[in-house]
This record gives sequence, structure tokens and C-alpha cells, in this order.
Amino acid sequence: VAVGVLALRATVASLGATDPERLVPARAEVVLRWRGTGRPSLRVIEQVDEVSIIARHIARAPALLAAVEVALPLGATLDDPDVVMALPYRYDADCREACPLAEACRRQAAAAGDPIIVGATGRRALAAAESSTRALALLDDADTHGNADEDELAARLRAAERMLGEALHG
Amino acid sequence: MDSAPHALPGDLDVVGALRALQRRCAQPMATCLHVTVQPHALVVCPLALAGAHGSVHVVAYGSIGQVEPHVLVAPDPRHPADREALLIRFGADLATYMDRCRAAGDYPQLWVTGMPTARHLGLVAERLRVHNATTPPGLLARHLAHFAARFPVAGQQALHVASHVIADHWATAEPGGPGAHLEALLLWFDAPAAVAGDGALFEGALAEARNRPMGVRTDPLRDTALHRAVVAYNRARRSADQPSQGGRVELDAPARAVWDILAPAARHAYDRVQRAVALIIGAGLAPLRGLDELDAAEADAFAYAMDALSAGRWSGRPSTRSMARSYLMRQAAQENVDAALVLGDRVARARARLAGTVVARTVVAERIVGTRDGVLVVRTAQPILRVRSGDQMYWADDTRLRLRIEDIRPEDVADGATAVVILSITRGRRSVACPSPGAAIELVPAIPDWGRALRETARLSARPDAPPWAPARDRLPGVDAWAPARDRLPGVDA
Repeated sequence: VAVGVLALRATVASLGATDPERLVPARAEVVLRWRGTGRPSLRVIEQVDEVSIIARHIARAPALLAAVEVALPLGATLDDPDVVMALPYRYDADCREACPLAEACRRQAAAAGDPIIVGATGRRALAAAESSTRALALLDDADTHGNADEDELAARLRAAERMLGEALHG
Repeated sequence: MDSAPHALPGDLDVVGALRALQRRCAQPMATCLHVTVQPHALVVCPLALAGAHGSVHVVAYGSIGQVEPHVLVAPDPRHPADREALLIRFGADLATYMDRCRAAGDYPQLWVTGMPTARHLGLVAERLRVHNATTPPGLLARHLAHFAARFPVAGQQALHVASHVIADHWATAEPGGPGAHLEALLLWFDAPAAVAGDGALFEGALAEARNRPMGVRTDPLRDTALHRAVVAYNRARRSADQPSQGGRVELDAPARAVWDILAPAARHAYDRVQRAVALIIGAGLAPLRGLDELDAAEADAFAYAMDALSAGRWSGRPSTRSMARSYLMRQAAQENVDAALVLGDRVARARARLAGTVVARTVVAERIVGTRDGVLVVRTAQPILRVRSGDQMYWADDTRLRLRIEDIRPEDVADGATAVVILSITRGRRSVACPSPGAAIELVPAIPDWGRALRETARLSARPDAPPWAPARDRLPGVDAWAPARDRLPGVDA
């Protein structure tokens, strides 16, 4: 749905529309089934987070490709560990199951403060902050302000920490 | 509309992991102990020969708190004599332990490093079950099969995976799940101050920890040396088989070389499990309410399995009825454990309030704004409320009070409430002092019903083997009427 929203916005923009976000809101009408039955229902579901995540990924893609180009000098081969380590990492928690380079990627991710370090849930939850360091700054310092997404994330994380503290300490 | 910030499902664990990452130290995520640690439990750490699934190349085992484990090595487990020597000795010790538990009316408990090791024990049992139960390998197979059969049951106390238990009670920035690495998890507790104080040093220590074998595989960095040692042992064994050679004496040195490589790895894994158990005991958490019932269920399951083994009722191929029974029992166990966790562990209850992922529906919590005769009106500010009219709820503080949701009215008011839930009291009105207006209240969707599994299996036993609506055994109904699909290709060609 999020990809569809972004594609539609791009199409609308290419047709000359000045405000594609307003014309194509991040909202989807989804057919779901009623719980315990096969009866369909049509519901309107907000897709703001999903659309912003996909948009961020798309925005980063050209930068990643450019980084790969820069990291690979003429004649470079991937059997050279230095060349491999110079490439942008792609780390996921599942990588450790299959990939011998997982540990190297994890260290790069940790050094970059990538939220994937706290797991796949963490990456989704902290997408607005883009790094665990920034997420911690938002959590710790009430005076830290960012964009609207970051402010909302900060409020959410503080609410969660308050709730966790209440649960742990009665 | 409510503008107050709300945490989302999963945020509690994310915050826990973030704090662990910041402090490079595990953070508590439970208010009570979810498992029983039997004082006589055995720590078992086997390693398999690479490529020989279900083999045991080395095993280190011992009781909780025992510093020096028994270490048994099969220099080449593909060789029947080596394999059986290890299995007979290990099987005899396990049988002694299980007999002791049975005599005491207790149940045995094993602790292993990680999920692969737990699965490996099941695989070993599967490989050995071709042996007759009266032979030592056959008996070991049946004993291990008991632990393997109990493992998928929620709340079981027979086979504990140390990495899972640690990850269940503490947050770290280590990946959990089947790939959780015990050595790396323990570093979040035991890192020296100098290492914990430096991000790069800590990451380096984590990488080093993850290279230590904590599953059933040997250390890849030392596998070449191990391979050479096993090849040398086999060469010596073939020479010793020649009549002109000196027999076992010739084998001692090459077997010792294999032992020298394998034993430290198994012993290290054993030490790590002991450390994990010590952490769990040392946390000083009160046991989860309901653990006594889980212990009793475990003891019953063990007694049932051992009685079946003694009576020769042990079957390699479970019947349809027994499979249906075990499915029912697993389902009941899962629901009971989920309910017990939400009731007994405040962090689990907080998760349920946020998401309803622990249970099917969320916990309703907020303040009572009014009572009528037998009716409670609860106003809640929860952003996610997965309840509907007709649902049964229980008061978390006293589960004798049972209520039914009569109506849910969405609200959009200045005080932040998102819904008003109207509940009627369906049980416990006379035995429980009803919460008064203004009181905070938490309603849980289920409470453990420890007798449910037995009731359902009894009902299953009463059903006939072949119900009247079952199809004939030899063929499916209407098979003759099925015609092969018409080949449409000729039409396309034409």
C-alpha cells in the first residue's frame, strides 16, 4: 500500500500537481474479514508510518549506490577483506544464521548506531530517529527537539519507559 | 481528542534494549521468575561431529552448582564401539538420575545452552529409538524422548534453554529467538568495567564471544585440528586392529588428542550454563503465581511417561487419539501460561495492555467512573483496545470477580479517555468487595484453568474411535466421480 501511495504521488507530481501529499493521502481502504467469520469488511487504515519508512528508504537508495561506487576502486575484487569492509553494510538480525560476514556487518551497524542493533522491532520502532544514538538522546533529554516524527517518537519512548518503570518497581 | 503520548506495542522491549545498549548491561524485564530451577537439575552440553547429525562427539554434564562436569568423548562417533561407549555411560547416569526423581515423586530437569542443543537431544533420541528399550541406547532414547516431547509444551519445566530463560527475564541488544547465543548474552552481565565502558572494546568482546561454540557445532577455527586428530585416531585404530599391533595401547594417544580439543569446548559451554542458572537464581525474583501448578503438571507428565515405559506401552508411532490429546494439552498449556504471565508478571501485563499480543485481547485498565447494581462503568485511555461486547473479563486483583462486556462506547473527551466500557458482574458479586468509583482497575481476559487439559482429554477419550461421519478408511468419498482435467493444449494448437 505504501509503495502504491508513493507511486501515485510521483505520478500526480509528474502531471503537474503542486501538492501530491494532499491529493494522495497516506490512507488505504483495506478489505479485511471480520474476526472469526469469512464476512468481508472495508476499513480505512492510516499508513503514515509505512509511507514515511518507504520514502526514507527510497531517498537513501541513490546515496547507497553512490557509496558503493566510491568504495570500489578500479580493479577491486570482493575476495579482498578490506574491499568488503569498505562496502556499506546490510545487517539484519537473521544474517547471523547464514552469512559469514554477519559479524562484520554487525560491528559496522553498531559503530553507526543503526537501530537494527536492538532488533527488527527496534528498527521499525526507531525509524524516525534513524539511529539508536539519536533515539537515546530523544529518550534522555526532554529538551532535544527534532521534526514532528522525532517528537512523537520521543513522547512514545518516554511513555514506554515510564510504564516499564512502574511495572518493575511497582 | 486524546493528545497524550502513548507507547505502542513492542515499545517496552525497545526501551529495555536501548537502555541495555546505552549502559552495556542487561536490564530487568520481568518481575517474577517464570521457571522452576530444580536443585538437582542436570546441565547437559553435547557437541556433534560435523556432518554427522544426531551424533554425540562429546558431552559434558553435571548437577547445578557442580564445578567439575563429567566429560565423555567418542573419538569418532561414526565408529559403533566409540559411540556406544559414550552413550552407555551417559545413558546410565541419566537413568540413575531419572530413577531417583521417580522414587522421590519429583521430575527431572535438564538445562542446555541454546535451542540447537535442545533440538539435538531430540534428534539423538530419534536416531537411537531403533534400539530395543531394554538395551542401554534404547533406554537413553526413551529418556531423551521424554524431554523432547515436553519441550514444545508451554510452561514445561523438563528442558530449559538457558539463553531463552535469560532473554525472557532481561533485555539486551542481543538477537533473541532460536539464534540467541548464550556466551554473548552473558557478556551483558559479566563484562569487566573496562570493557563495558568502551563501545569498541565491548563490540570486540561480543564478536569474540559469538565465536565460541554454544550450540552443537564445534569451533570452526579449531575444526581443522579436530579433523586431523580424528583422521589420526582412525588411522591408529585401523593399525591397532591388525594382529601384529599392540591393541588399545596404540589408541590412547590419538584418542587423547581428540579429547584435548573437544573437552575444553564442552566444558566451557557447561560453565556458561551454570553461570546462567546462577544468574537466574541470584536475581532473587519471586516465583510466578502458577509455577506450583506447572511443577505438578510436569511431575504428572514424567510419572505417566515412566509408567508407560515400565509397562512397555512406549510406542514409536503415536495414535491419532494420542496426537489429538497432545495437541489439546499443548493448546491448554499455552493459554494457561499466557494467562498466568499476564496475571503474575507486571511487565507481561504492561505488554498486554499495550498490544494484546500475549493474549488475544488486551487488558482493560483505568478508572471506574460509576457503578450501578451489578454494573461497572470503566473509562479507559488505551489507544488500542481489542475487546468487544460479550467478552468475559476478570478483575486482576481478585480473579473471582468475573465480568462481561455489555457495551463499548468510543469517547472523545478532554480528559484523554478513548472509550467507556460497560461491564456486568457475572460471578463473584457476593464473595468479592466490588471496586468503588474512582478506583484504578485492571481487567484481564483470561485466568489459568489448570484442570482444563484433563477435562478436555477425558472428553476426547469418551469419543468413539470411528465417528459415524468419518469417511471410509480405504478411499475418499466421491473419488470415482473425479475426472482428470481436460487437456486444453490441443485446442490452443488448433
